Amino acid sequence: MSNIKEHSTVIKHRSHLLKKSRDLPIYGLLLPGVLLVIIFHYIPLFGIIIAFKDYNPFAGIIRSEWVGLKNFEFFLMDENFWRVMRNTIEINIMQIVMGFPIPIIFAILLNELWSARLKKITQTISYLPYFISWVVAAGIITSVLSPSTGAINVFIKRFGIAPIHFLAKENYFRPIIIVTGIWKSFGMNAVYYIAAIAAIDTQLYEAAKIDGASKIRQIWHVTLPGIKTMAIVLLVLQVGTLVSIGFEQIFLLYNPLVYEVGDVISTYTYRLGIEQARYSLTTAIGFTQSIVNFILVYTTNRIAKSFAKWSLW
Amino acid sequence: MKKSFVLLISVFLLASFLVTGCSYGVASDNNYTTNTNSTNSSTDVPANTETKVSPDKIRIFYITSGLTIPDNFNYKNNFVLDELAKIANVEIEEAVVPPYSDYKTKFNLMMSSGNICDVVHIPAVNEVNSYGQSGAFVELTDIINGSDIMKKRYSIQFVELLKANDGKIYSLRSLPVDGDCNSFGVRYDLLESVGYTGMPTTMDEWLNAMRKVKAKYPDSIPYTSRENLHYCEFVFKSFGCASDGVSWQYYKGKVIPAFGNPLYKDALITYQTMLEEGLMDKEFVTSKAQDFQDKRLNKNVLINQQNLTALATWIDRFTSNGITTAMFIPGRYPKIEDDRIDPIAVFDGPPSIGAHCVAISSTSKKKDAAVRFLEALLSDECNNLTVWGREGIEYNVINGEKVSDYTKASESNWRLMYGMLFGLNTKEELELLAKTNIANTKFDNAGKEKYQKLFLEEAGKALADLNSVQMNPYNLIALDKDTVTRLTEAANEARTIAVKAMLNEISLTEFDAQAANFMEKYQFITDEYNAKLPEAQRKATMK
Repeated sequence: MSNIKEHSTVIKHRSHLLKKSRDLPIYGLLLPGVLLVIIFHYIPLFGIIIAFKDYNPFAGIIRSEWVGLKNFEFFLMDENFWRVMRNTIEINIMQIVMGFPIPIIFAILLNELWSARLKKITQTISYLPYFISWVVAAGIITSVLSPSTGAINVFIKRFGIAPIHFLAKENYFRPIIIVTGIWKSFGMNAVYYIAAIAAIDTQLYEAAKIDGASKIRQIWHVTLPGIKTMAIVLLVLQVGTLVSIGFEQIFLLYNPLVYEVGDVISTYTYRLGIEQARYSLTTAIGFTQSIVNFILVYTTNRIAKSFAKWSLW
Repeated sequence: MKKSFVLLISVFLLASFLVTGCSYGVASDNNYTTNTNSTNSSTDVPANTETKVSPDKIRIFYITSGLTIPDNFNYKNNFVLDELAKIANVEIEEAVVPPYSDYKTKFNLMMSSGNICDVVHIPAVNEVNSYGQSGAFVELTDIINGSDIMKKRYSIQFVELLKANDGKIYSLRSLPVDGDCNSFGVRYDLLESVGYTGMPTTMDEWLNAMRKVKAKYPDSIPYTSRENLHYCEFVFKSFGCASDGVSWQYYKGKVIPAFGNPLYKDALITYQTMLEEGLMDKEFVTSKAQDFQDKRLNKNVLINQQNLTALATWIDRFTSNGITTAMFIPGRYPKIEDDRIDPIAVFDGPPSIGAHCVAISSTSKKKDAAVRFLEALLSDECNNLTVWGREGIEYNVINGEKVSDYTKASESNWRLMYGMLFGLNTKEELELLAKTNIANTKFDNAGKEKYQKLFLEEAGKALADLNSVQMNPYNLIALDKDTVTRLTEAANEARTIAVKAMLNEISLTEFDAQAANFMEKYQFITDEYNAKLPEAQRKATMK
């Protein structure tokens, strides 16, 4: 009896090893990515200690003077920090509210196109802006919105309206940031939803049709539930960057007239970190951002679990 | 088959990952450096056949100071650097030269990497002193005292001005220059085309000149600036305000914020008038550097803010961009006649020690070689090479006097960047640069003569204005690191208020309220400036 047990253990062990050896190429494929994450994301985590020191590149991290929470105190007591934080959060919330549904709607509409060729062409055109750098995009935007030669002002001047210097007006600046941000990214974001829609079983649509569901009903009852998981994942990830924001777009488009509403955490950090080499201070800011973002991701995930019965973890 | 394919892909990915990681750490990988393998430039490079016993190899970091550098230029081997290396008995192993638009970022990145060149040149006094105090650079007091040439170039006052807040010297700085000042370039050809036979002298005359130019050339922008107000000195300085309209300034024995100047609002009203009448570019607030330069070239801009030496280089820029009728002459600030003005703010006063710093890395293993290289930078040979060039090529000696070959000299204008310790803007250099560039314009001989005469006369007047007041002690005050951080944010806030007022986005009453809040909020900066002012005044008046 014990021989049979031993024999079956050996067989299990061998088949386990056999499975592992069959999966070796897959692990090999995974290895560079894992190494990349470990080397560039986990190991640098030790550098967070710079936030608690007066970092001196010549003394090195270990020998730099320990200052405790002085760096945190510095930026938390700075009125400008709270202004840029407020701007960052407000712009991000507007981007989520306005930018989140657009790729979903676009993906659904694209899915309903009859012509496969037209679908491909539309999809390609929609994600082309994603590949244009912000330097080029900002140049285009500045030209189009120019009060003297921009297409929009040339058009409105024909109706007797005085030209508007859009980029220099506080009440236009944020909408411009949001609209151009959506224009640049919605095509690429829609790709995730298109993939999710493609994975929905077509029999569900047939069943719905048989039950007399109209197109809208099919979308509501089949498509949207089908992409719910993807939407939750992307929403959680987006909320997880609520206190961070891309640098290039704002840096290339903002100017003194719109600092009050357009200056954000990334431009603030750029001035302190790169222009003034205040590495400790900017590490402290980055660390704070990461903590806040983590709390937001965790909270959003819990909310998703409660309401949508699905979460990232 | 599928398994082997997957295995092959994963091995390839891993190998490429390892190769990428292993190529980090070699300083010459930076794409803006030249290393030992680069080819010589197209300019003549004298063969360095005479090698002394084992010249020490050093690495240097320097900037181009905004000069136009030819394509394929060799930053490590050229006739100037080769001569300096010969004098110092060194070999330039590597020259790290970042793009001029981004030099501070690259400098900070180099410093934080720890891989610092033996000799570092950068026009960033606060940063060099800050890094020096952290131990990055060698303290130079004993070295200066032990070097004949350094003692010859740096007087007691200059040595005092070299000192950081802690009383130590971490870099040599460019010597005060006698050929440069804050100025503006006037398109004299535009003035002549609207009937002027001389330069306007008062603010009202300048405004009228701008109106005439605008009337004759409706598409022109007689005056422009760009988003950071850097080029708005013309009106602010004439009213005795801080040149950028947002910094602190010296005013009648104390330091005040720009908004505290009694004539600040008058300056704002002048800008408002210029903007309303279309005399100033309304889009300046969103103009980036390239837009700004394009407008200066193509939009008949009458007044172009620049220092004198940069004006001399702009002569060439008009020529090379096909604007062959442009006659670009320095202007004098039309100081407003008002007792409330402190003329120091208008004319700045004689320059103190310059902002170009040359330091020796504390991690250098060739400190003696680095010191010799600094001495070479201060030598008469260096001065001659950078200003005049090579005898028989860029200049000839005729009857005991140096006569420049302008064509040849203009081909190697880049040599000026190696005169970093002499200041790039001596009177001699200014004159030579202006004559060289004017000689290359498309004017006939009479036109060139007139151009040259006008340029040098008006430059002389601007320099006389500069020297008509005492040295500005404000430039000698160094704030604490934390205050400098707050100062940057304060300047951004002030800029917003100033630009909104200029563009009538806020009324002058609202401006008053916001300015008062601003000054109260940043009172601590004013206090620190005034606490350090007595020491700065002492240095400014030292003999």
